Amino acid sequence: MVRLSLRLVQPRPRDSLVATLLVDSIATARVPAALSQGGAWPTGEYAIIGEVAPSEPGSSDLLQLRVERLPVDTIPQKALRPAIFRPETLSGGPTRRTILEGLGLGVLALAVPVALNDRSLSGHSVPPAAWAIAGSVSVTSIALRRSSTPLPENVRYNEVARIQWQTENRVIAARNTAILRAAPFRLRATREP
Amino acid sequence: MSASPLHAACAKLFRVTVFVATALSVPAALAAQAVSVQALVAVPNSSARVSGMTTRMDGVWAGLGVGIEAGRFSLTANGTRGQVNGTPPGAVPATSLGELDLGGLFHLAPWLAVRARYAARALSSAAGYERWDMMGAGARVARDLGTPAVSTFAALTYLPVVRLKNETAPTFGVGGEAGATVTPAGSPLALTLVYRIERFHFSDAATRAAQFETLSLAIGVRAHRQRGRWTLSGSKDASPPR
Repeated sequence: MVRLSLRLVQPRPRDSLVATLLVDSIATARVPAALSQGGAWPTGEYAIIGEVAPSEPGSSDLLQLRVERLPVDTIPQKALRPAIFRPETLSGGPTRRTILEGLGLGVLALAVPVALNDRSLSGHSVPPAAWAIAGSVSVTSIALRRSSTPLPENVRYNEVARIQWQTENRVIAARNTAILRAAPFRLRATREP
Repeated sequence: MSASPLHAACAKLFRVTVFVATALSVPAALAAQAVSVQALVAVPNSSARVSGMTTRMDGVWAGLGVGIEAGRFSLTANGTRGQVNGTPPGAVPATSLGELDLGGLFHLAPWLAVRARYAARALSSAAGYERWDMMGAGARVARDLGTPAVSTFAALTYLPVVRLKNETAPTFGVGGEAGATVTPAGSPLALTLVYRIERFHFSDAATRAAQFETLSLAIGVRAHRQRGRWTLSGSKDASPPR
């Protein structure tokens, strides 16, 4: 009597009895390449072990198997095109608060040099370089803190476009899963010496 | 302003504190998380009044700086060299000017840091050689200007230890600076514009006053370590140039 077991090598070795044959000299066994719960074997490493019962030393044999899926073409996912989106805010001029804040920062930047400057030594009540720094800080602050008005219509439009893009990609992903599942697989066998 | 025993004691205590703080911060700095290098060009302006006579000098200097950041600590070293001339021209002989500046920052908050600083400045001309050694401590505040890519900062430093070779030394000095840093998005470079001013107080007997200013423009590149890999980034957080 010969017992055939399927050994899954990865992720951990485990054996499962798949057939028991009464053999005189040669016999043929059909081992379905399918899981008990349905579906084909996943790709990976397997082995078929044949043991003569009652077992004696050297009365077993091992056939290594590799299950590979053949490459198939899948549908590419749709890239997100920023051009389809509309601006969600409308930039406006600086607000009064922004202007006051910018001027305040400029005054603070000017305060340190002015407080330390000795007018009789430098010849300036406010050093010209300090003006340059304070002016830069004020102008930059006002320019970068411009007000922006939200545009709800565009926000909604973008949300719909984003959902549509995600839905399309989910459909493509589902179709790709089906394509991969239906892809033919190849079985490579290597006999252990 | 005369040097009192209390001032001398404060100066001694300050030196000991700076030494201890530096010794404690060095091990942290060795495990650097970011390093930066910057080149700078500046317009220095030195003004002095001796026995009622005021002399002013300005010119150009250039230099290099390096910085190390580790956690909340950052250490910087800058060296600059250039030449200044009297204003009006010919009032004082052309003078070579050089400075070595070592600084340390400890960030208490993203917008606030305390700092320690040592600077050695030398002026050499046909009229003689003058060397200033300064040590001080202070605070630095920083704020973004609408975007993290642009920030402004200001600092105030008290310089209780100021030594002047072969001359009557100031009793103390006060330094201040204000500037802005721009780190263009996606660029490893950072541009910094900073104005620095130092004013020195002498004893009444010295009949002397001095002030030093610089307007610097620096361009720097910073590399920071993330998950064991070094990546180039703008040196926004690096200390400003001297």
